[in-house]
Amino acid sequence: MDSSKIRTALALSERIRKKEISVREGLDATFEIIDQKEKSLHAFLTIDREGAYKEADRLQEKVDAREMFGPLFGVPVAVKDNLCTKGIRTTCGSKMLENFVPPYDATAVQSLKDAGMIIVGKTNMDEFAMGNTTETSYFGCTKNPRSEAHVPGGSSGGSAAAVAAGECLVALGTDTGGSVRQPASHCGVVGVKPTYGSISRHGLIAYCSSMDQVGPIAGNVTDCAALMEALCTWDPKDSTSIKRGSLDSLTAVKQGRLDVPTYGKRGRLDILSSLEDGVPGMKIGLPKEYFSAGLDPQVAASVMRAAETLERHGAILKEFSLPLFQYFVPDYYLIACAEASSNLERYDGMKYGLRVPGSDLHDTYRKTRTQGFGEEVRRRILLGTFALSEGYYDAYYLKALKVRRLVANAFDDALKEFDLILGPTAPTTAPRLGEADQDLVKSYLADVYTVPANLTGLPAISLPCGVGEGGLPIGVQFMGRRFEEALLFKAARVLEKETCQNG
Amino acid sequence: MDHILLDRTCRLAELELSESEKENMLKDLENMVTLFETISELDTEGVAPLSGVLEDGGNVLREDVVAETAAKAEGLAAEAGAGLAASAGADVMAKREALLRNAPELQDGLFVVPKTFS
Repeated sequence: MDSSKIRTALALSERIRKKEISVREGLDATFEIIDQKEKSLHAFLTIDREGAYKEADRLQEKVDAREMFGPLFGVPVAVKDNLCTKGIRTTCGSKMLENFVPPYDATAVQSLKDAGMIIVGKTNMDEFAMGNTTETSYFGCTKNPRSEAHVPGGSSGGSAAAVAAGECLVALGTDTGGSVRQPASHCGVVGVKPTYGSISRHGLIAYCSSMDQVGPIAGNVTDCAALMEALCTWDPKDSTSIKRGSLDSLTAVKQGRLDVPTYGKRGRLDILSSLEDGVPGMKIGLPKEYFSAGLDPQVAASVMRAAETLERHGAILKEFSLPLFQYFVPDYYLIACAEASSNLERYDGMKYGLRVPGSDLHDTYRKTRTQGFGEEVRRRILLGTFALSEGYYDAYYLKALKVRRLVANAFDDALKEFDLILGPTAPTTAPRLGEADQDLVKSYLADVYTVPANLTGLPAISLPCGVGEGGLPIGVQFMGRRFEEALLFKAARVLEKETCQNG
Repeated sequence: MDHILLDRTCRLAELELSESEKENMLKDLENMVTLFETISELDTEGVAPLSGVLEDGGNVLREDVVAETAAKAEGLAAEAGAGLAASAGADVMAKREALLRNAPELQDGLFVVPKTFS
């Protein structure tokens, strides 16, 4: 049987577990497509063919011995290059870490291995996840598989492009301000930013620790749900990792507004069992501000069609006014840059990473950091350093944290009335290569729909809902209450069945 | 944002810019700071800052227990048998070596750094 015809991760794993195909054959199909497409696409920074085949043989022995395995057993997966992989170079898209080989696996990577998945390689990304086009990568940009003149989005552009091109069926990204959802939207795949604390950040190279979150990317909603289930575990190595089921420590619960999240067997997150439940009676809010000036009319029309589809399936739609819309982006960038300037202080050329020798200690620091970081990273470090510096801290950083609470309150209020908030993922389809460079502020403002989920810690999903000019994909986004990812997936599944022939 | 402030910020961040880079960076930073300043319009009187979405849940504490050290690995393995002790010790050494392999400069298994005190 031709395993390259298998379009979903769950189907591939099932065939492997039923011994209709071997783990190796599944992997062959992946590498065949990688060999075909990678030269022009450049979704990967490192490909670990040897390690992948070795793992495939090990997993095959388990299949042959009939040892227990999960729904993604034997499935090849790509990992964004800011997640540490033991023995595999992890660059973060930066010259600074060009030759860095982690001695340990990130917990999210360990979760993939625990699920019996095979890591095929590390994907391209904006340097240190700072960017929304994958063009700030030190190693060159990735092309959008739907149109090579366009960017794949970012910062997880390599992961989204790899899935969209069929180089792998699922991938890991990370999302600090939209870096899973926006490239998923631009490449026409499904991406999730889980509730903050759902997936361990241990081994994720920090950009903005209070917002960074690992997220699954897949070609369809069901695969994405399965990967999400595999990744959500409590990790004692990350103090912000949430033990689902011990919600009493959270404000949200103190306020008494949260349902207890769904659990499956063994106390793990369960999304799949309610995935086909549909949306009858689900209350969905459409913020008026989301559909104001700046939104491409084709994107607006597509998203509205998605809303109407859900209404036809029994959801209750209502427009409402969401305050603070124009403050999302400045608030996000202020906090993200401040945390970045602090987090990236560690790159001093002493114990690992690049070192450019200078005349003395400080000259070595300066030369190392100046040559090791690209322009965008230096810009954000400077912005953050400024916002945190004496005389400016109160007016910029502290003010931003107060506004962050206002934003969180605004979404909490909206989610008292609505189960989900629906909107576009990005204001336009994927920009052309080089376009974002023309107007920095405009490029930042394009993150307006995705950053609130990071500021507030709320979960959000992006999935394809149509195509715009030139056949470029359009994405729709749902945001929901903390820990209620299952609702996002249910709504996404309804939409997928209507709009996608693979559904 | 002006040249003096940019220079100060570069110094704090341990970054250098050439004269031509400075002009472009100054323009970019000015544009961004203008965007940042829009939030000053908002009334945040009496609003508590929110530095992380979990902060209101209180601190997360756990027992401070040793999970893995060379001595512990060797000790555990010694209980299981002498052959394993050697292999556990070797594993810890392998980890140490993997860590040190990322160092820009080493001598006798130690990091070599520029003179810190003059």
